Amino acid sequence: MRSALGYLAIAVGTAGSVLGIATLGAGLHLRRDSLLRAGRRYVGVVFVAAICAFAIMESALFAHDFSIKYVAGNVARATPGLYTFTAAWAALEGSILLWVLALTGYLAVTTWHFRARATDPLVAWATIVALGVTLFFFALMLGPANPFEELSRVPVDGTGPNPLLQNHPLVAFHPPMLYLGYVGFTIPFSFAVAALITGRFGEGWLADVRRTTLVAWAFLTVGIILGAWWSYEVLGWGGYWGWDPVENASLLPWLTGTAFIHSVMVQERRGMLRVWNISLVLATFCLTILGTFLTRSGVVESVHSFSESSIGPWLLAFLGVVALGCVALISWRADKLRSPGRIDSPVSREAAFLVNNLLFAGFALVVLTGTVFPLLAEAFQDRRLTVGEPYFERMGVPIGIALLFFMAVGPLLPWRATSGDVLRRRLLVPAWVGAITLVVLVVAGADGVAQVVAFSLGAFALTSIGRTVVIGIRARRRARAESVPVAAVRMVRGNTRLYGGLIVHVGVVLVAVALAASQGYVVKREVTLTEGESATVRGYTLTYLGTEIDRSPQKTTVKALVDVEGLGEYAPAISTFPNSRGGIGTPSVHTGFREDLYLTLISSPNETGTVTLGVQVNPMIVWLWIGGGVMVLGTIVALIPARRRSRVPVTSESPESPDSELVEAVEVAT
Amino acid sequence: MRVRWAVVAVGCLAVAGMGFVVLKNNVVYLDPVSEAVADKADGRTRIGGAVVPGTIDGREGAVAFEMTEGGVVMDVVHEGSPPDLFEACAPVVVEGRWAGNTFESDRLLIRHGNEYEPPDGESYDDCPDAGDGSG
Repeated sequence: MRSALGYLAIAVGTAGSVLGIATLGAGLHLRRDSLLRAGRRYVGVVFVAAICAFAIMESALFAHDFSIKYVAGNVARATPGLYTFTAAWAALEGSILLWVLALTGYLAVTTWHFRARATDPLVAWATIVALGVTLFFFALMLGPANPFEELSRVPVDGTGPNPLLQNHPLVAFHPPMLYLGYVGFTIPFSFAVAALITGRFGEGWLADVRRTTLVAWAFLTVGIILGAWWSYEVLGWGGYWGWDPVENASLLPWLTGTAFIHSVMVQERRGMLRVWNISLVLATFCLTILGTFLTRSGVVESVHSFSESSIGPWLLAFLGVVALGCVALISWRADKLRSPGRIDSPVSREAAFLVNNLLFAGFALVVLTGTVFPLLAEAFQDRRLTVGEPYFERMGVPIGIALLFFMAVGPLLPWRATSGDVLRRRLLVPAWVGAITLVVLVVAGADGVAQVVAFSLGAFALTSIGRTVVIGIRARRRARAESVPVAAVRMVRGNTRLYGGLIVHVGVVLVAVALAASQGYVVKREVTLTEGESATVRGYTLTYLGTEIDRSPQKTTVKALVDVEGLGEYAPAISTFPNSRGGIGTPSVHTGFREDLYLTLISSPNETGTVTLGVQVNPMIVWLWIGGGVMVLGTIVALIPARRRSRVPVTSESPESPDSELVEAVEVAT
Repeated sequence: MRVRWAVVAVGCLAVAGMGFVVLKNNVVYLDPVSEAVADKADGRTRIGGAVVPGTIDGREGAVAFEMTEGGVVMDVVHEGSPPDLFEACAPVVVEGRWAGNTFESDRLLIRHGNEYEPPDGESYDDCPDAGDGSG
């Protein structure tokens, strides 16, 4: 019953996509506004169909309807409620369903937002493209990835989700956030394609998709950070990023998306980089599809290989069609895409953005190469190989450091051109702070070139951001007698984009510092203890107190109780699940602002009663999560519509020497 | 303008070349025991096989054992404690270098059960039954 209803919902969604595309297409061809208005209604149909299909799936999961193959394979009677709910995206078919739900949701919101422009060909084309993508995913569920496939013999109980997907509540957040990020880039993609088709690749379409792009970017950022957190808190190998192909797959669209968010400003300001911006949007979308392919086809070995499936070739074909289509569209419009403006000076905001973009693109290329190289080697050489972490680190660290530098300098540079004098004045204080940090670190004997450089650049960047904010507040206070907090709030509200961006940059600095510290200064030990025995690692005294075993129908957990002197009791554990031979380790972490103490149970007590514990001291990890939070906060600020700009009047007292700070405050804010 | 583009192009090529060298130096091949023993590659290698029952020596800190696949057996010495699931017949991947006829591993991974099986269905069914005097 549910199976039939669910399949019906998917069929309705597929038909709705087809009809929507057909109606809009006919409307565009015949230039009939009534058809265009009718066509957009199908977006509603498709959205409702996706909601229904998802709701039916959830109801089937909670009702333990094991006649549906997906339910039988991903839920057991003993599975707790939370993991029953999240089982909806624990395997391939369900995650495609969630993907479609998110996609149609974005599409519905976008269509509603542009309701007044329903007859605008740009919007109509964008809707067609987005519906085309929706159609593809609905069709996947209609055929090779049907989430409602029935079993001929109904089992008494299901097998339950993969142990990794029922061991921590983060499973409720990490995948949906990542999907909202991935899927969100479909909207800018649709508008970019529509701009190419209609020939309206001026600056209009950029303004149309700015917000959606930021929303998608924020979700992707959260998804990646939560993934790192999950890796750290749940998987228990002591790290948060392993250059795993699937991790890389999420980083790729993030890199190109970040590049786009920056280069868009150059186009809005100066009308330059049109081809580049369109290419970035198209590439970002292609990379999300590539990511889905890597995650969901089982072609790469990864901690994320939760499902093998037959949809790999479909995704690859879709990717191929999209990529070829993009290249064809761009080359068709190539001569018209020529940008009117050009860069006047290598020392200008737009030049800094250009370098930033090249770095982001280069980074993406490095990651892409390292990620698909094993696939190519296997396909053409028939040899299995992995690309070691040192490749990514050796290539990524210099690029990351260069990005940090340009992040610090970029916002200080004026558009078009800079005089040496202006540059000197603006860079003076931040550069000194950076240099002093460098000297202090070297004198203090800090290890690691990359670490020292990253910390110094972090100090440089923070000072330059702080300087911009202070000057802005001071200018306001001088123009109208406002108190500091009032001036600060009004200043941010007056230009949410600028100050939101600067807040994001603060988050990036925190993340960069955390990355550098935690990669460089980690202490890793293994200790084997009998009951009552103690060991000391980096000043932490650990005493093994004994073992506790928790049994539930869902899992059996063996905990080693460890007393850490002065901090309390910790219990790293290993859980075994009835549906899997493997044990899943759960680390126990003491989080601190300076460093984390990270305990894992490597081997549970044997006959002689000894346990082996993994002990790791990870410096500054918590700043990674805080930095991620700050980045999201900044994005939210940037999304708030700016108050009608209340300009600070530039009426300086002495006309021959205009107050440089006031000029800068106005200039930076524009 | 021409000159500037040429400089950019040369720069890109240099970076790409450097990247390729770094990539080449950090590629780690994953071979089954039979091929790995035949090759005895110089650099860092990953080898997949099954633990031969009764050969596990040591546990905490370091472990020596034999690994098999395709009828070939090799000696492995692993620095560090093996994970909890390390046992006779466990499908493992070791990463490290050859030292003579012994493979010195510093990374030992267990290939998990059915849900983590490698996509091409590679199997290690040469492993004798775990019942035969397993250690």
